[in-house]
Amino acid sequence: MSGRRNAPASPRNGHLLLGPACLMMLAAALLVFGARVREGQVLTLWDLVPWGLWLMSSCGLALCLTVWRYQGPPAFPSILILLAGIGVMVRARMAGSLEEVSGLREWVPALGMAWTILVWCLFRKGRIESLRRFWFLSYILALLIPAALLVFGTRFRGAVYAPGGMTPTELVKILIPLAAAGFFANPDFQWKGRSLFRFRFGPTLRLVMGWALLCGLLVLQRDLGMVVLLAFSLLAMLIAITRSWSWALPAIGAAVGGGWLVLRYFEHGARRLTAWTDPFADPTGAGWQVLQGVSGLYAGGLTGTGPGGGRPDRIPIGSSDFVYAVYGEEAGFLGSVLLLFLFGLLFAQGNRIASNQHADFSFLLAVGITAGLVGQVIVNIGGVVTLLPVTGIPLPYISQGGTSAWVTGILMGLLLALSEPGTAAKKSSGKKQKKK
Amino acid sequence: MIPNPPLHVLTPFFADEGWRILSKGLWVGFLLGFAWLILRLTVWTLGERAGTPRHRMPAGIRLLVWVGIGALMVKQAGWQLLGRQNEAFVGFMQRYDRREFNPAHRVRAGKILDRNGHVLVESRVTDSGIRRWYRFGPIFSHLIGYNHPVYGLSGIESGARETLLGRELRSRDDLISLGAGLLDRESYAEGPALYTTLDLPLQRTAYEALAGRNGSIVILDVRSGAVRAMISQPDFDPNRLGPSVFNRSGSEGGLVNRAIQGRYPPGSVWKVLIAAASRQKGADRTLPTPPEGFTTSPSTPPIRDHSYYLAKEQGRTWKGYGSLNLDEALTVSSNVYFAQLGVLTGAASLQRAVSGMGFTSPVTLMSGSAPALRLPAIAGDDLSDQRPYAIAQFSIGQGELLVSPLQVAMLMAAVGNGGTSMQPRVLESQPLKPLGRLCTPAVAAQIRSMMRNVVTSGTGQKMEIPGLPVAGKTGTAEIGQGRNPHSWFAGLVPADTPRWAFCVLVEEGGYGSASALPIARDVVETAYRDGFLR
Repeated sequence: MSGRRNAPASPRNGHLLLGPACLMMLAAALLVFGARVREGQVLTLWDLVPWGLWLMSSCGLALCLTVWRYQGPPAFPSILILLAGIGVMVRARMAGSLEEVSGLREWVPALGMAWTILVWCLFRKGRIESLRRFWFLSYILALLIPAALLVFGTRFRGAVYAPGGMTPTELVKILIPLAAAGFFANPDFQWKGRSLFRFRFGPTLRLVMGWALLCGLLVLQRDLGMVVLLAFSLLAMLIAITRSWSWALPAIGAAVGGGWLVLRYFEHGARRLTAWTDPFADPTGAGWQVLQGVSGLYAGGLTGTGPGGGRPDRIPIGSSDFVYAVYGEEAGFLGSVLLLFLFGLLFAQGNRIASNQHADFSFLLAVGITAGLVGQVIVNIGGVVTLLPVTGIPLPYISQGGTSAWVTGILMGLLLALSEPGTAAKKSSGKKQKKK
Repeated sequence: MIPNPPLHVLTPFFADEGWRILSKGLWVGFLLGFAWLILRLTVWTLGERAGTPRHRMPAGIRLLVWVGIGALMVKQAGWQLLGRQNEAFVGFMQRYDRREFNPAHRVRAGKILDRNGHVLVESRVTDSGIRRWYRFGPIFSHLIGYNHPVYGLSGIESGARETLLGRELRSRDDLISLGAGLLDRESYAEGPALYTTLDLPLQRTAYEALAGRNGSIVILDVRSGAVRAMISQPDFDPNRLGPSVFNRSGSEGGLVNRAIQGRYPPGSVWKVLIAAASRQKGADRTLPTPPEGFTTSPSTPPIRDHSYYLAKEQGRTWKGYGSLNLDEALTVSSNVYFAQLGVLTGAASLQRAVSGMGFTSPVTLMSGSAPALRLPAIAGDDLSDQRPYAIAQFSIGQGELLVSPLQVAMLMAAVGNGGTSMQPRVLESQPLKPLGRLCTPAVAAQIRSMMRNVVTSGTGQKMEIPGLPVAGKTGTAEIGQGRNPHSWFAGLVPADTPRWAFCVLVEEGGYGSASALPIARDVVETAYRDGFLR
């Protein structure tokens, strides 16, 4: 045990478990390609591209972290590399069966890691604090994107898309944590330590109005999943800065009221709710998608069919909303638990990063990004396994979808930048640790 | 355009048989490697120092997320590992999941048994998947129904579908088998067997007795309401379903279960209910039965007795039965007597009798079953003392009154059960449930002895079987000009301590004593001789 005390708890920069991850991915690639060849498909050089992109970006990340002396915990980038790998595996598997996951569409998400590296380089060493000034601009942009999309976008499957099938609304996932962190950290508004029962009128009014406006725009787009995960992220930030649980009360009230409104005025909302509470009430209609998804899970069983053994074409919207069912069928319950653990570790890392912050803004940003991401995971997977109603948001790192993958890459880049002790805070933290 | 060369180099490697085994090894390696990485990362994460206590992700949010992740795992395990426990889910997958490797397709529905454990239906593994095999073909066609991958479900097969697929965890052995099932994916697991109340030899006897005639036979256990036999003709063979079966749909087709869904005027068998209602009211009336019949106003045609028409056909004149009491009137089945009796008894008492039988609201024989196992209500509410002629017609089982053979059998069963009407049961597991009370036990005993007189000295004399006292009532239901009337015979056996109530209906069979009675006698006598009635 004495050796452990001398050595740091986690190995320093360098390998990031890259070797074992590469071996895993080699096995995955062989399994996926083997299954596709046995199905009678002809593999091409292009099918190797996403795997190559993963290898290059992972090695690139490791290289950059080493060369520029990454100071944070190495477990965090290792988790990102592993998640990106699982995503490449699942999408490569679907590329054989699903039209919407082929060619370029399969390549684009693999580039998310490049964004992580870029954003980390840009905002490390405390530079992220400079974003604080732009909180109001971020908010305005967060309003403009859905508003513009309402005017210029096209509807498909109930949601609104920009030309080219892009979903720019995803950018709101970056803008809102930035805006909210800046807003709550602003000393003028005095959010710190304020419970609901000692609220200040001005800032609270701003918060309510701002949130209502954004919600309205997102609900018009029927992007209810986005509303839910932004609300979760905002609530986490609000409780984190005020250190008072009293703010959960109006949040619960708004959730109940909003839920009632959705049920009352949105037909598809009510349909999804019955599909959730009793999928067997209308198995061939409202319950169809969810039941096909869990049928795939059941077919996979404990150890799964192995990559390529499942039938992703049997799961409606298997490439994005229900990608977890595709993964769960082939990876089995064991593989699913491992993936859930991986997301759990990401959350734990996010918590560590948040608690290592000294400035309010970066602390709130870490809290907002972590809560938003893990909220997205729970809402997506919860929809598949019928813990929650289906809301139609993608699973970070795994789902098909370029915009979503890039936005996740940017968010993780911000978190990676936050995971290093900033230059300004470095000295004080060092002192504190010495005192202990 | 960038060239995109195919990678044929790899094809022979994957096509090799050795790849199959290698791929299993690779997959195990992948999962183990994944698990090892997770373990490693967990150790790293736990080893990292937490930051300042001033800045923390709120504890409640952390709790919420971890509980959420745990709930995801539990919920997923409920589908992925314990899905076999959810009968509705297995049923869904068998119907709508097209993955041929899904183990749900290998789950077999349980056997359907008669009350003594004779197998009536079982699941067989065939080349084209699992098929239901109906051992006795058309004999049980209507009540048990069918379960067919193309044509769907009907009857008990439909109502009990989920039960037949189910598997409850009750004992330690069940848990062990669940664990084993998770590993070997439950090859050919079978659902629990279902005991029906049906009696195979009795059903077979009844089926053979009715052969060739359109109609129905129902035999009920008097005390419990258990359906011991139920025949409807024409029928179909559930092993040979095809488009032709479904093309002949509607009232003429073989798919209709006449015993439950049939709507027939009951004719004179209904007089048993009128007699019970009248006796329950307390009056013992002696009424004249003139040959010119009885009517309630000059504008309505008189209701006469069959003997009048018979005599008229033969060119004789009929002098009427004279004054009759209830016992005598039931024995000779006098329409004139019962039309008067019904009007004198009054709408309220008759309605009480109908609702006492439980006929005023639909009776579901099996919850969750198709409408084929739902007994429709009899409209008894429209009786009114303001419309005496309708009451007179109701009292002889004609007019707007329509009943099913099961309802007539239930009427007999109520008389045999001391006046209490029992809900018909088709499964042994269904609880006994009284539907209501037709009359007191004393009245029921009186009615029973009158029905015994019908067989010893009345219209049902041919039903007399040496050694087995039978009580019964004939029925001849007119269905319009130029068509033979429906023929009924219903009764109780043995008459002194009734155990079985039976009802035979032959569509357009003529007089009740002419066609339904011989069939009833055939069934009861064979059953008695072969010992099923003991």
